[in-house]
Amino acid sequence: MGDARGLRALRRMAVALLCLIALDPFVAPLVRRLEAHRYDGSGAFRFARSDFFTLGPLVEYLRENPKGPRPRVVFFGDSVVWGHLLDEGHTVPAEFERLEPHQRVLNLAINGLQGATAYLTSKAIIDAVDTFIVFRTDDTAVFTLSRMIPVSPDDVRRFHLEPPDAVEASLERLAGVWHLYHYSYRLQAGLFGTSTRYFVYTHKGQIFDVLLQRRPVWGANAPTAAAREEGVDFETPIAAVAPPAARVQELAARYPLAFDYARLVTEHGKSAIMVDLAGHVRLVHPIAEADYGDLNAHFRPHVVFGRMRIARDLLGGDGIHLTPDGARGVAAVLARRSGPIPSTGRE
Amino acid sequence: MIFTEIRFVLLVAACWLMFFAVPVRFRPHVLAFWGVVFYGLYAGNFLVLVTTLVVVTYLLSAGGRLWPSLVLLGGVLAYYKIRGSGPGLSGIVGPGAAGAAAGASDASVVVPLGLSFLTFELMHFAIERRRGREVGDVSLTSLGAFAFFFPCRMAGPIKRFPEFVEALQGAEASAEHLYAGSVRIMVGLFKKFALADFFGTKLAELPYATTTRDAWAVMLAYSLYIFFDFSAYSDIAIGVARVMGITIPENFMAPYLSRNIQDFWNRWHISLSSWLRDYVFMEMGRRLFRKPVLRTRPKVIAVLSYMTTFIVCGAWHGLASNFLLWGAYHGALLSGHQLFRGWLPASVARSAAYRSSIAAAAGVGLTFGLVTVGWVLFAMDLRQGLHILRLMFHLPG
Repeated sequence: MGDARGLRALRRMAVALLCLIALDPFVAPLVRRLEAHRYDGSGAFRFARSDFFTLGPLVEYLRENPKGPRPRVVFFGDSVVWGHLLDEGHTVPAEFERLEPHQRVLNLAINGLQGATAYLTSKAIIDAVDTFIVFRTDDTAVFTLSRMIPVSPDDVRRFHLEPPDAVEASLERLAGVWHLYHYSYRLQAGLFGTSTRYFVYTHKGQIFDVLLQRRPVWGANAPTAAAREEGVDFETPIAAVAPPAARVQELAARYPLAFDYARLVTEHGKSAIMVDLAGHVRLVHPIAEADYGDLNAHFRPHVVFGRMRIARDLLGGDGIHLTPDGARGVAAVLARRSGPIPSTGRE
Repeated sequence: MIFTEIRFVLLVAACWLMFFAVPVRFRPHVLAFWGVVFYGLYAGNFLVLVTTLVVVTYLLSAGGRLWPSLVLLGGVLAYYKIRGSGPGLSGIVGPGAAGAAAGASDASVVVPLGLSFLTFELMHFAIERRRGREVGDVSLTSLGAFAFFFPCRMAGPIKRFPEFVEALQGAEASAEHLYAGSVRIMVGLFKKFALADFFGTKLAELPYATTTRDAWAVMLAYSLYIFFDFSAYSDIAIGVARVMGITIPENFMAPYLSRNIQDFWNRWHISLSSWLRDYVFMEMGRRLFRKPVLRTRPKVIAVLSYMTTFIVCGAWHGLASNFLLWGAYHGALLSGHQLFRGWLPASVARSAAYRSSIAAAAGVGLTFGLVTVGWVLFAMDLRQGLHILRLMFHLPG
C-alpha cells in the first residue's frame, strides 16, 4: 500500500470524502429553503411529470411542517384535476388559489390516481392540511405506495400494497446522518419538481436559460378572465335531520372508502369536498342520488359530498378533460362551496 | 436498483472484510457464502434451484458426463425463457437487454435472477472440464464462488472459471483497487441514472411516433439507452469486483465506434460473444467441416455457423419470435460481411481510399445504422416492429 499509485488513490479518496463532509451541512438548509418556496410559496404547484416522484418528498415536508404561512388546501384527482392539456397556471387548483389567495393550494392530482392512494396520502398529511378537495375515482391504491409514504400495516393489508422493506428503511434511517443521501430525493423534488433526469430531458433545449432565470420556473400567475360558472352544476343535497345509526352503517358498508375518508377528515377537525364527476370513466362507485342527503347530514359541517356536471362546451375534444374556461368554472364553484355548509346545498 | 441499496453496500463491505481477513485458501468459501447470502436476499425463491444446478453440474462434470449437464442447464434456461420471455406490455422490453437477460420480465413467470448468465457460466465450466482444460482448484466451493459471485449475478459479465480462480487467489487489498473500483462504480451509476434513463424517457414517445423522423429519433434514443443501461451494469459489476481486487473481463469497448458488424460483436457484450464464438461458432464450424460435402465450401460453413450462433444468441435473450429474428438478422449481417470480405479484391482492400478516415467514418455510420435497425426487432413485438420499420424507411403499409 506504499507505492505511488496507492498513495495517489488514497489522496483522491480523502479529498472526495472531505468535499462530501464539507458540503453536507449545507444540504438540509438548502432543501428546507427550496421546499418552502415550492410548496408554500406563491407559484402554482402540481407534480411536474404527473407521476409519483415528488409525492414522497412532499409528504415528508408536510409532516415536518404541519403549519404553513397560509391555510393549506389539497386537491386530489386524476388527469382532469392535474390539468391535462392545461398549463400549470390554469388548472382547477391554480384557478382556485387565484380566487382564494389567502389559502395555499397544492395540486396533488396525478394522471390515473387511484382513490385509495388519495385516501392514504391524506391520512399521512392530515395534520398539515386544512381542506381536502377530492375528485373521487376508484377504491384501489398504487401497489408501491407504502415505499413512498408512511402507511400503516392494516392499510397495507387492506389495500393489498407491497409491504414496506423494513430492513432497508431502517438502514436508510441510519444512513440518514449523511444529509446528501438522506435528502437526495427531496433535493431533486424541491429544485426541479421532478427527477433530475426528467427535468433535464424536458428542458434540454433551454436548460441554461432556465437555470439562470431569476424568477421561479414553476408556476405562472398570469391573470385570467373572470371565472365562468355557467355550465358547472354542483349538487350537494343535505337531509334535514342526521340519519339514524342503522342508516349510517348502511352507508358505511355501501361506500367504505368514501366513508372512511370522510370520517378521517371529521375526526381531525378538517374540511373536505368530495366530488363525483358525473359520467367520468374512472369513477367506479358513484354515490347514489338518494344517499347524498344522509351522507352530508351525517358529516356536516366538515365534509360535503356532491355530484358535479360539466357542460360539454367546457370540456376538450376528448370530452373528458377541461378547457381553461371549464377549469375556471369548476374552481369558482368549488371556491364558493368551500365555505360553511348551508342547510340546503344546491348550486 | 439493487446496487444502490444500503443492504447491498453493507454486503459488499462485509464480504470485503472477510475476504481479506481469511487465508487465501478460504477465499472461495467466503465468496460462495456471501454469494448465497446475496441470492437468498434478492431471489430467495430460486436459491434451491440455482444451488441444485451448481451442485448437479459439478457432480456430472466430475463424472465426465457433459451432455446431461448441458441438457439440464439448457432445459432449465429454455423453460424460463419460454414462460418468462417476450417484450413488455408496452411493446418495448421493459428493463432493457440487461434486464431481459438478468431475468426481469413482466410475463406471468418470474425468471430467476441472472439465470441466463449463470447457465452459460456453468456450461462453460462443464465443457472445459470435459476437455480437460481446468486450471487450479476445481472444487465445489470454487465452483460455488464462481457461480454465486454476486457482482456478476445481475447482468454479467459472463466469467471464465480458470481466470476467475486465478484472479481470486491473486487478489490484494489496496487503495488503488478501492479507488479504481469506486470510480468505475460511479461511472456505472452515472451511465445508468443520468444517461440511460435520460434516453429511456424518449422511449415513452414510441406509441406516438407517426413520422420517419419520430421513428428514427426514438430508435436512436433506444440505441443509446440500451448501451448505457447494459454497460452501466457491467461497469458496476466490474467496479465492485475491482474493489475486492478481482479483475473480471470487460464487456463493452465503444461498440458504436465499430467499423463493421464483426468489429461490433468484438466490442458489444464481449463476454457473451466470446462465449458464443468458443462454444457455438467454432464447434459448429468444426462439425460442419467434418462433412465431406461442406469441406470445400467454407463460405457455406461460415454462413451456417453465423446464422446458428446468432439465433442461439437471440434465443439466449428470449425465446420469442422477435429475439430470434434479431439474432437471425445479425447472423445475416455477419454472413454478408464475411462474403463481402471474400469478394472484395485485395487491391481495393489495400487501397488508401479504403483505409482512409472517411471510409472508416462511413463504416462506423453504416454499422451504427444497421445495429439501430436491429434494435427495432429486439425491443418490441413483431407487429409494432414492422410498423416502426415502415415508418423509419417511409414504406407503405
